[in-house]
Amino acid sequence: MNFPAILSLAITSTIAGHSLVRRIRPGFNSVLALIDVGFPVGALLVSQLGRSYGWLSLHCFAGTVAFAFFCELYIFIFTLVIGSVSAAILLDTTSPEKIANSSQPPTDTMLRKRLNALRHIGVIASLGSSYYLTQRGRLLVSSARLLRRFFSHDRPV
Amino acid sequence: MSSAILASEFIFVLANALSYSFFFKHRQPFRTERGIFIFQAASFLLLVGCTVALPIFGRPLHEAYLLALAAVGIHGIYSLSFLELWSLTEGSYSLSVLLFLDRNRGEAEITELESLTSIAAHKTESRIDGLVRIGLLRVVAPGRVSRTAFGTAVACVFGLVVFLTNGRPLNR
Repeated sequence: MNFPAILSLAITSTIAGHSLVRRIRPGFNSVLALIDVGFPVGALLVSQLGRSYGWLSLHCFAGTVAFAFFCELYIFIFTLVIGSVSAAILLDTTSPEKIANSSQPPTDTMLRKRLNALRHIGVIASLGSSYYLTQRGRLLVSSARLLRRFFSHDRPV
Repeated sequence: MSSAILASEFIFVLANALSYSFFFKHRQPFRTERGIFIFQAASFLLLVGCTVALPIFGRPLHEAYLLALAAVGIHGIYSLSFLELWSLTEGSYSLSVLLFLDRNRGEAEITELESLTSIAAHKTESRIDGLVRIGLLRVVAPGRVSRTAFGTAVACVFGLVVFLTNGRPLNR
């Protein structure tokens, strides 16, 4: 097999494998599912390219970084579609039969779903009707504050 | 020679990071979503463009192709990570919830958190305006919008992604 065929096969195998894992274990985190599939496929890709072209060849390096970029791009795309407000509006607004009413956003549902998602990944926990930050949540908030300072988000534009 | 070009690609990405850290991030146009996207996209296209143009300077075509692929990978991973972090820390709704809890000594009642629904309402309105501006939605009556043909095509791609990943959009 030539270089583009090996790379294409690795990419399609990752998409198919991820789709399969998400169907077998629908509750499993979709990002972790891609990492679980992407790592073994990536290792196979590197070993195939290494054996065919040499471990320190340009083919091996270019194929590896291109595959890693594809995995990050795919994670970016599906987390965008799953988590983005814009994507949800676009998916909910059909034309011309159904028209979205922009003055009535489902904001309460949005908050509850976010709280559930944050609880699911263990950054917050709930006790009765109150929510609190876990140790992991505090760590995430500290990191986010550092990054906000780095990107100057705290300063007015 | 190709390893020297490969090293130059890494140096280019490092120069992007340093120039942002010490110069561009203090400039007002680079502190908006549009500005930072243009900055990263221009840098990405410049690097990939330079590697694609290598055959003009006598480099073999297959080598230029591999170096361009490496440039896409190296700069792509850097830019995508940069833009994701920039965007997440700038206006993520989940982060707003976490920062609210942190400011509230780490815990809050659901009734207190409900004050954040105004952020969600504002976000929904501003995103609809944004989608109208880029031609994915059109206003059909005051306060009512529908998808354009372009919007329908993009929604089909999103639908395919939801199908492939067996995902459930969080905000629907």
